Amino acid sequence: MSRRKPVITDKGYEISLVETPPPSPPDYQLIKSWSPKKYPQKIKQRPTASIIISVIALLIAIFSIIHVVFPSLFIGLTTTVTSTTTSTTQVTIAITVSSTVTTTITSTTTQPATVTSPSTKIIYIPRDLMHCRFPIKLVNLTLTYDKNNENKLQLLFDVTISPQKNIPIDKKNFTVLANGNLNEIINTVEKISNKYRVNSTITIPDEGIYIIDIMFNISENESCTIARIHC
Amino acid sequence: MWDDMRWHKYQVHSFAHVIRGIISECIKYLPNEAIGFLVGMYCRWGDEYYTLIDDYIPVGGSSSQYHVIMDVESLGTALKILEKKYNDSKHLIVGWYHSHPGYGLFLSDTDVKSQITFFPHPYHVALVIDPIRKEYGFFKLSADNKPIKVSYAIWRKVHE
Repeated sequence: MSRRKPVITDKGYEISLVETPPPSPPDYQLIKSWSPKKYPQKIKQRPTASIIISVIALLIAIFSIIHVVFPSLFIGLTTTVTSTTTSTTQVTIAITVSSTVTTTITSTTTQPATVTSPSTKIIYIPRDLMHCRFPIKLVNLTLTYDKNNENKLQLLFDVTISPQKNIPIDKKNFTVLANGNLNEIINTVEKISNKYRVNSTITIPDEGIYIIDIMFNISENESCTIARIHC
Repeated sequence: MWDDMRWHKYQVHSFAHVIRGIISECIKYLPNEAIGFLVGMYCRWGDEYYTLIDDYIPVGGSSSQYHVIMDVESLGTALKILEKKYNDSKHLIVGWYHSHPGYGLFLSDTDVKSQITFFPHPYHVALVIDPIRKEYGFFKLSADNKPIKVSYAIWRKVHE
């Protein structure tokens, strides 16, 4: 291999810069690539939007002319348009009024957990991805921000444990980890029919990605991740 | 916006066997995170600058499902390997890789701080691998230190 002298770039770094073309056919075969497509599209957004608006305006104009010339042809169509507008309005109202977003997670488990979250930013990862083999299932999970302090997040979740063990299950059996650190306040654990309802409060930062793991402690040395929440 | 777009367009080129090797390392460490250095060259062709990754050095260290720490001893060993294997002025540590098992491709606040502190040069990139979702992506930081995904191409040498 030939040795090259370091090149001083305009940024002032002393960098060994090699002048060589990137790999390309026929010597190399492209296996996988990724490049951003959104940015060039963003720049072209204005002309594209203008074209769409122009086309819609043109269609409206054509329909208006035809409607005037042949009014009997468009009685049914007018009704359809009105109905579509009404349903769109209803959807908008529903979104505005609702303060929570409910997501049903479909996973390979027999019964998916229902997750109620105050923010669509929160991603729930079912336990199938967590290498957990213990027969414990998260039935539902509700996340609520404290009204007075948005850094406080309340977790309310139900779990079923199968086969049911004849051992008392209490606060010690549940742990909430935040970014790998113990950050739990397990408020209550109560048994409701065949489920255990756990109420916990944790503190989350203002910004940044936060990973919350809900763990079940089988014994002092063995624990299992029931779910991971990513917010 | 223009700055972000410029960094998005920054190219990383690497080879299938290198990426396969890094992914295998990450799978080996599951469910914990894995970490290591990316070895390669800072290249220019015409007006285009790009990073070429042709090797990697895994770094031992303490790791969990949420974090991984490079220890000083491993860092020293890695630099010795680099010196021994590539005794030329072309090969450099061009970045680092680490895994996010099961939680996707992004640079966390800690990752951003690591990038700012240890990998500040224009050719430095961060490769994030999610070995569970089988995804990977290359990142750089914008002028205001926001993580930006950069373009990449993975190649395989055609044997004659």
